[in-house]
Parts: sequence; C-alpha cells; structure tokens
Amino acid sequence: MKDRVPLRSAADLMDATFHAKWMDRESIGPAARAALRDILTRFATDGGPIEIAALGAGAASVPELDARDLVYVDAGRIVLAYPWAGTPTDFVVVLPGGRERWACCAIDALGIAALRQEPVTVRTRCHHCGERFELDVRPDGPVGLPGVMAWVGERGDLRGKACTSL
Amino acid sequence: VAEWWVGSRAAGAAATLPEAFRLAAAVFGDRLRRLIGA
Repeated sequence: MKDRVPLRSAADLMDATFHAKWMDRESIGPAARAALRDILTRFATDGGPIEIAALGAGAASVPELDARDLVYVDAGRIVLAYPWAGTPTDFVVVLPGGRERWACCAIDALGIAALRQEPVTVRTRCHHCGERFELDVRPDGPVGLPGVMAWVGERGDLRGKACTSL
Repeated sequence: VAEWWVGSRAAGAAATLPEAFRLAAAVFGDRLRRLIGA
C-alpha cells in the first residue's frame, strides 16, 4: 500500500501555509500566551471543556486565541485547545499516572509527549481494519510499530472535529 | 485498498509514523512550547 498511497514528509507538510499560520499565531501578546498556557494546563490536569468564565483575567484573551485557531469555543466553553479535545475522539492519550485525555487527532496525539516532555501512551484504532491498538510515544518519538501510517487531513473548516487517523 | 484508504477520509496525505511524529514534534514540541513559554 505504501507504493500506491501518496506519501508526504514532515517537510512537505510544513509548507508555506503552515509557516504563515504559525507566524500569525506568534504575533499574539504576553497575556494571550499566558492564557493559552493556562488553558493547556487545565486540559491536561482537569480535562475539558473549560468554562471561559473560570479563566479569570485570561478570559479576555480567548477571542484572540479562537481567531487564530489555537482554541475552539462553543457556547461559552473552550471545547478544544490543540492538542487537547474536551469531548471524546478516537485518540485517547494516557498520561503518566494514568490520567486519560482525548487528543483532537492523530498528529495531536503524537505531539503530546513532545509538548509535555514526558512519555504517553496513545490508544486508538486502525482506520483500515478497526482493530484497537496502543502506541507508546516518548518526547523523542514513538516506540515500536514502525509499520503504522498516519493520515494527515486538512483541517480547513473542520475545526472541532478529529480529521486524521492512524 | 489504497483507493479506499484515501477516499474514505478528509482531503490530505499519508505519512509514515516517523514523519508524522516529526510534524507533531515541530508543531507541539517546538512551535507551541515556544508560544506558551514552556
């Protein structure tokens, strides 16, 4: 199948659009950065969704974070903050100590170990056969399962939905 | 199988696990960590 499915490298996927999007995100100020740090910590610690009103002063930065696609807001709650999802997805990430959290998609699940600089276990299912499997991921990369392939979907207007798979 | 593998998903592309992790590490281990001052 590898010979017939179009393969992209990480370098291919980090194209001009990717870099432009991140340059825009990097224009946010200190208050928004601090708010995002707090939101990401809350997702990891307590899970989501997060009531915006519970963020205190950080609540004022949420529209800016939402506009730059760093979080997704619905009905006064932050329902996802990449890589975390506040509602069930096919990607369960088990943190050290056993806490289970949902990741938005396959790439997000793979990136959590690098974000937190600690090992995690990703529980998901094969898009092809439906079989459930686990993948251990360390901050420097996945352990084992070298034959697993990832599908990197275009998020586009699909915000709020998981759109990649393993 | 390849046709189904592509056609049953949102538009996008396949990546090997190491390449998918490289992308994930660049996004979350590098860009996002710098953004939040981790």
